Amino acid sequence: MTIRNALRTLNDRTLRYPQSIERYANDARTLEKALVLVPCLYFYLLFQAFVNFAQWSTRAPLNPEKFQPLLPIAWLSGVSFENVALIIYGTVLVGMIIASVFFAKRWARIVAFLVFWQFHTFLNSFGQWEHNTLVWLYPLFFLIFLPDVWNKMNPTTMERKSFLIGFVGVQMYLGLVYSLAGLGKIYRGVFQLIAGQANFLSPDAFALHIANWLPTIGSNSLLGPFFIAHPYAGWPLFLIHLYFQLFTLWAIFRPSLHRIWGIVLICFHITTYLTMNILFIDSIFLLAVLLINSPFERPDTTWRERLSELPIFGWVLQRGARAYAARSNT
Amino acid sequence: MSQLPHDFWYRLRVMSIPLFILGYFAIAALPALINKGDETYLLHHWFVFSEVPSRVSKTFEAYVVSVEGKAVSPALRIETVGVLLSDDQHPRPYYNHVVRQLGQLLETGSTAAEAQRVQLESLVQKRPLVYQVVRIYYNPIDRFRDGTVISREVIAEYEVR
Repeated sequence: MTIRNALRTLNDRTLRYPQSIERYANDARTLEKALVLVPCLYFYLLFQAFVNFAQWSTRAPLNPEKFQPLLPIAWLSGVSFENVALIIYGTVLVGMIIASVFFAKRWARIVAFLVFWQFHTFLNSFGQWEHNTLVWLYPLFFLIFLPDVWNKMNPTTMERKSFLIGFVGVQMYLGLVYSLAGLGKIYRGVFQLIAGQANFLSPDAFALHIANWLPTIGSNSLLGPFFIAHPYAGWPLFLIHLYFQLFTLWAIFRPSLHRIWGIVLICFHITTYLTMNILFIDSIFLLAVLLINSPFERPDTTWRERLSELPIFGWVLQRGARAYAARSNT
Repeated sequence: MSQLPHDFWYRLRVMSIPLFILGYFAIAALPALINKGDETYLLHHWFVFSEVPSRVSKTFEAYVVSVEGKAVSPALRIETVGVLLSDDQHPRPYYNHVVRQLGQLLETGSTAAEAQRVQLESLVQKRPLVYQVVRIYYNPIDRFRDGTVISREVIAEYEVR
């Protein structure tokens, strides 16, 4: 068996890509929903761009002393810090207005990507990484390659398929981000487990994270003290979040899981805010738009179908159901 | 370019997704998994909070023992005695970060510790004070609950004139 055949067999048994997406190509509702959701991403960024612009004009949230412009904004190195900020915040605002109006045109999506890239680079030029805007950067890049089908009355099947695959590309990046976060925890956790240290399986893992993090940022949280006082209460939450994080990329290729994953991951972000004061607002918006309202999610999907698609547990459930059915027949 | 069949561009789109995943993993994530490397601009590995903090954690803190000749007893953490410059200019986590770096440099006997001390003192109001850099071993949960630490050791004492 060649490597290609082996990969194809593996794909057919697990992700079923791209067939799992292509089957929606002739479903009008899926395309219509995707066509509505894409401009929503630009509308949100326009809103955020205006909030940032308004905050910049009333107070300086960034420390000019730490400003070390990275290469993509090096062309602004001769400009005073105040003017750099004004140019960056102003261009991202104008760029998002353009993208919100002309989102159906590829040139407007290119403009949106370029101004946001400059904005993201600006925020990363202060000696620490800004993850909140990073979740947007690659999706905005992938959106450039969507075919311009908004103004077409009857797009061809190939155009429909191309648009939906492009939309999956945006979802995929979000899935990759969460899966990497989960993988990092498992990988490092195995080493900690072998070394006999506290690890991701320890009942007090969540409490240790909270108790270590809050003093580091010199802050407190609403529910942090509770989970520190009752470490076992956080144990199931920690394991659930780890499972969902690790398999987000898998779930992207299983449309019936999109809604569950979106809800659980939003709950995860709310929990990390309530316990550790970590706020990922943009991720919550992206999860709500791309997963909870996924165009691939069918309203008639049953809970049994959803559960059977779960990684590991779905396989166990299916095996169990088959064994039960075989036993009942005999 | 437009002469190529639609099917070609579609297949390219289909293939680009798994290729991006594998490429991003190989470039951004794999080196970080192997070497515990830092994140790189545009190639973030997203391994956030990947290690569970140890039950015997170590940190460094700065404690003020006297201000303008008057003893502060018991010694108080530098951020609690009102000698730091405004938090608007330098947020609290930044002070903590500078102190921890100073402690690590002192512990390893690095010559860069002196420059780090100057940096810390540039964040402090110009008032005569004496402060100590303290190494603390602690269980994060116990310390958060009631302030209990496993051990506490002064590794340096400085005077700001």
